[in-house]
Amino acid sequence: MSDVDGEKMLLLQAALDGELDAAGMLAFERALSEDAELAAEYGRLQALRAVLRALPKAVASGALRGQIEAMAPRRASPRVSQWLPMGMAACLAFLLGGGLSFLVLPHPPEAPMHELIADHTRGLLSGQPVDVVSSERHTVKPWFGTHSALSPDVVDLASDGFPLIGGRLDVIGVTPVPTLVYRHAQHIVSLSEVPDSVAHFAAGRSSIDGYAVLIWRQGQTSYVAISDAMPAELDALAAAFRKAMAAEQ
Amino acid sequence: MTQETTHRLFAETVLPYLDDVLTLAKWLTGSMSDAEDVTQEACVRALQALERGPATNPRAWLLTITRNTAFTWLKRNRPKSLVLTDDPEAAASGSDMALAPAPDAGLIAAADSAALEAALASLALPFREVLVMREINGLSYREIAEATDVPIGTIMSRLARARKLMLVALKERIG
Repeated sequence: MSDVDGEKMLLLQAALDGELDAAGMLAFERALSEDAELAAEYGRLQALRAVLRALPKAVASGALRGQIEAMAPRRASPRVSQWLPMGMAACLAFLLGGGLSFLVLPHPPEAPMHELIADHTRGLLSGQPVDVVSSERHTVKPWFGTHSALSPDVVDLASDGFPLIGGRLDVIGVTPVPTLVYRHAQHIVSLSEVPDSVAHFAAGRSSIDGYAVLIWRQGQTSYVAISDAMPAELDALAAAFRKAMAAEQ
Repeated sequence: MTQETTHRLFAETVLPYLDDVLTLAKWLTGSMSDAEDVTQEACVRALQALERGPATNPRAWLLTITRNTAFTWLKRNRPKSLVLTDDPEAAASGSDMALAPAPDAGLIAAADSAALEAALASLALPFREVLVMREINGLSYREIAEATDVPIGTIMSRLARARKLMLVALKERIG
């Protein structure tokens, strides 16, 4: 290895990497046949390349792949290729079932409001209402930046009785939606910022599945607050949030 | 560029290469969880770039983004791992290396992947980077030169040096 000089060494790399033209390759092969040391080095490097190429590649986990796929969801009607397996499954089921005893139909998409409610409920039940735990908005905001293509407004409302406890990604359809999580006394409040491109909500108050829901709008964004607190407390949160946002700008 | 087009471009030019991105990120950061962070950040950057138009050579383009994201990420989160030298060729002293006996081709071929991975991980970042881009990601000299913003001649000599260092590191592990 020590006897192969610099220029031959580079030639050897280029030959190994398929970066020599035909004439260069011929000249190199001639040199190989005349130089045992060079040939031995070439053999070592070929062996090295083979084992390096055989090293297992990293494989993205389902969770990672899902997060990245969710960065750019398709909203167009699904392509034929995606429906075809479903159609075939339906045909197969029909044949196996021996008749039209049931229909295989894709589930209709959940209404966006129910998806947000479900995510809020899941957060409460699991005891982990947040994906990123921090009362520091300078931690929460960048976290959203690296985990979704959206960058929500993040304000701490501790002085108004709603300390920020962190953030969470909820999902509408297949699109991640940034959700801020505040605490108010014993209650958890989820505040989702939903761009109109994802789903459009009308402003107003309602009660859904036992939760108080308050929606207000600003520009092209709906703010959806969900909590088991009293509706009036959501009004207070909304007022504090808007005041803090106005102070930001 | 409509959002719809951007999303289609993302699905066609980024998603198929996710494992390549993760693999490069893993070798640059040295850990799978760091690599996942880098991969996410690289994909966010790729999505933003696609809003301005499609990429001509998606794989090389995406790996370039990954490489740059990994360096920014390391600088921010693992500054100690980034001991960058202006001249890595000079930093890796050549004299002692030339004297080191190399394992023969048969021994190399029989090396187990744990020894190989440990040897590769022991290389300084500039050498590890070119070797991974060339052998594991399969990029050409030109693509590596563009990704690292280093002249092609330097890439060639760095790759030659990386392979020598790799043989030495492997020799220490497989005897």
